Amino acid sequence: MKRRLLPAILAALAILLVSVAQRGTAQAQSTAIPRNGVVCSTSTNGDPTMFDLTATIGYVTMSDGNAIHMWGYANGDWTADAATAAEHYQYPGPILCVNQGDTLTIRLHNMLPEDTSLIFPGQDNVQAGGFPSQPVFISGAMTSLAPVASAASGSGGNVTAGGTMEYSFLASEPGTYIYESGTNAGVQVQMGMFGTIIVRPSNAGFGYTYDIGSGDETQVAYAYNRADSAYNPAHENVEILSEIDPFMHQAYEADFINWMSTGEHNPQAFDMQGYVARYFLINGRSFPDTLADNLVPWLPNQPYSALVHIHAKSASDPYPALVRYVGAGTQDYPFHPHGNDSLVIGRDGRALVNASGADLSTYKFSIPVGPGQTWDITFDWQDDNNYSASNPIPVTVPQTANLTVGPYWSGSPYLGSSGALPPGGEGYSQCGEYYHIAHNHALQQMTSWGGITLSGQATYTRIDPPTPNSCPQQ
Amino acid sequence: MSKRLSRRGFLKLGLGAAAGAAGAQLFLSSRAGHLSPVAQAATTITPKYYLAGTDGWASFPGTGNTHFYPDPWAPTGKTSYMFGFANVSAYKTADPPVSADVLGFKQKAQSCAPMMYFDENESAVVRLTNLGLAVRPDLVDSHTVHWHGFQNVIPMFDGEPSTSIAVPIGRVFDYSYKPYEPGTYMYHCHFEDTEHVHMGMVGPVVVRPAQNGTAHTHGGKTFTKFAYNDGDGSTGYNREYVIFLSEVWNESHWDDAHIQLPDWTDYKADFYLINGRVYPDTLLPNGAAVGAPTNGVPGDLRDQPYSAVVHCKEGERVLLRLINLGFTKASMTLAGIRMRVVGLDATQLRGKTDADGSYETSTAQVGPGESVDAIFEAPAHSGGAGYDTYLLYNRNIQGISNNGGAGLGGQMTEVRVYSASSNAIPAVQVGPNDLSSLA
Repeated sequence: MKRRLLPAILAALAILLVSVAQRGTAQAQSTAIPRNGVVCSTSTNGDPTMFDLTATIGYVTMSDGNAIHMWGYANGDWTADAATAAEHYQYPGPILCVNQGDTLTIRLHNMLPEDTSLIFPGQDNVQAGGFPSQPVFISGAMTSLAPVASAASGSGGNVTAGGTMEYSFLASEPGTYIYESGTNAGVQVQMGMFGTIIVRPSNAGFGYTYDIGSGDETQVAYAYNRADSAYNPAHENVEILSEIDPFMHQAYEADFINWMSTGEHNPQAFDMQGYVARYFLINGRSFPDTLADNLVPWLPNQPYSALVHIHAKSASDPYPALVRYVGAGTQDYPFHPHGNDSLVIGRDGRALVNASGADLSTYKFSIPVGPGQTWDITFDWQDDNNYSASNPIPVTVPQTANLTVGPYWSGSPYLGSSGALPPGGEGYSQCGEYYHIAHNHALQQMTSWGGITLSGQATYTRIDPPTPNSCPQQ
Repeated sequence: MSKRLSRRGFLKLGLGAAAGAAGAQLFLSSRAGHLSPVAQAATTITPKYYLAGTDGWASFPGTGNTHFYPDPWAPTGKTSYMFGFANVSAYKTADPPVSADVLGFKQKAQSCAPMMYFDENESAVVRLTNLGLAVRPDLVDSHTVHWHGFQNVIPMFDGEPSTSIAVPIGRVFDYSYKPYEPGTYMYHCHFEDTEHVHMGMVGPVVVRPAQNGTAHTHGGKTFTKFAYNDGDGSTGYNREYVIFLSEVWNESHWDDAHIQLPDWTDYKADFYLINGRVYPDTLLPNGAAVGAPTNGVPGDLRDQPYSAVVHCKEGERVLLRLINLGFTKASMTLAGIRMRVVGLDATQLRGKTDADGSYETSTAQVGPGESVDAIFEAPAHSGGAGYDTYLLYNRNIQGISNNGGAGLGGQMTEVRVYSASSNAIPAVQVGPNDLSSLA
């Protein structure tokens, strides 16, 4: 039942699943794409601070194999053809990175059956269509939180592009922000219409100068215009937390098919009183897809890895990783990375300081990322006890036959070492690296629809030995 | 059987009941080796605590109004099937460790799990064995101890089974800890953790600061016990209480006893617990045997040993260690007394340059997997004999009902303030939560 409509809509749109290589060309990445960590989208129009985003449908795959009809954004202007737009759909929306002081401009093109718009919580003086962005009223009733790109039209199985709206604002403060739909938002945001904006600091000494090709792990970047917000730009991550009710998406899928042929669209195709989230996602993926690399070909519309890959802290790896958590769902997600506390250094695009600017950063083991919030944390790990074969752990380890051994266990307690594994084990460890899980501690949200456990909001932190090491290069 | 796990097999690994059973059996049959000799932990190591993972039953008094509650298979006086840790620390020197005495704790899981206290920089071992599940012999789940919040832990002692190791039935493993950071933590089994945590394998763990024993004066009063190494006595206290929050969703507990599987995304708690009990049992003393009735049958509290009553004298400073291992955010309100939140997640609220981030509140929110250290000063006694009562409860109102029934229940308890001259409570607390065993 839940998958029955997919073949029909795929045929109707003549969607071809394009390879990553093709998409990569389309996105014209100017630098190598890291296997893990943040991937800033590249503008398709040549202006690095102006983005064309097409509001479109698309499909994502859950780790149980279910395919979900989504709304959201494709990077670029794909209004010429609905199938091409859907090919370029991505969930969550493109990560847009600018420097403090830049004016970020987004041209929103609409291929959806209803009006849509963008709002930018945390930004001041947003312009829309050349005027201050304000709520839209028609006959005294508010119809949108911001001026809209008007709806596309469906007829005879074809989609004709709707309107375009241009939004812009001065990125005045560094930090992590959300952009999301401001129209029929209870439906549109939930259908996937959100994304992340990263504003990097630009005060003297804090500007972003990361040489991705150098392999130098001592490079430093800053989350804010503060020395205590230093991090290693080779280990910067965005973890966007969201959720899906498959029945809601199924209702809008049926509506979309009907609209393509008849032009009739029901903006309340699903009764939100009956909303129950069944999938819980990080970067649009459910576990274990969260561990897969950026841009893996089997997840063509879910490009972002959620694996945090670091080196143990050392003189050659002095700076922590930065993780930008984004709450794009309907509730607090109490996120719990194992291994070490996270140092909370910022919230909602501001450094965590008191009224006089003194640091109030705090270590936490549970990060309650609420709807619409962003949390900036730094994370590092080191063995406080310097355990090694010559400084062994103070307990006797039973033989592996008397233990249940996990697939990511190296066989050794010690970082950079490996030991005996039972025959037939997966032995995913490559170089004696450590893995720690990171997951939502509202543990029902670590599961997904139908009772499949450990398939929701969970990922790993991979900890390699300090550089230089024998691990495969990232 | 394929040597490599299929995608679906991986999903099921370490996870839900039937799904988990498949995964665990996969482990055991192909890798752990049922017939291998049992390797004992070195008997030269004496652990500080010895825990035994098993199943059991608990009493949550209420009106039996659903298919799932009370469980018709429950022993008299009990209502709900549980997993948990039994406290077998009395047998921590037993050799071999899984002695006949220890085996006797099968189906005697404690709710909540034993409170564990450590001193900063102490080298300590927690021993874990797995006694299996008496009601579910078909489930061969392993167990682990995950010290939630332990900084810079190596995977071997983290207890997350996919990145580490877990303890099969009949086996023993020693977890070694050297805690460097004082504060309030929690621990739980991480094997199939949605299920094992919710079924009750959860408990508090506390690290006392090295500053304890030295005198610091704060607000005109001198303290020798502190929440943190504050250097100025600002986290000093006279008495301390763990307020440990967890939840019970009847359907999932019934399912585990009756060989069924819940859809966890249907989760909705029916009972909200403090220290493993629900109100009014929270008001009974430590070790009380008989609790409030269910359908006219008195409750059997023998596996729910912890009171949640807070006793203090006027003018004393009391540290509440609020911990939540339920799946729902709690809003713990102390009606009539202001609390000062001095720590979150085992971290004193101070920035890198010692700027004070503590704050006063009457309601401390505690999300899943969070801890809050809140200190209040007991107000003046109103006079006469007896104590003044202040309520400590979850302002998330559904959290103070038992099974959705009428009246008060769930996460509610009392703060009882005695006069300074009262002899009703000891002048010096015998130990955390009035437990001399934790002194």
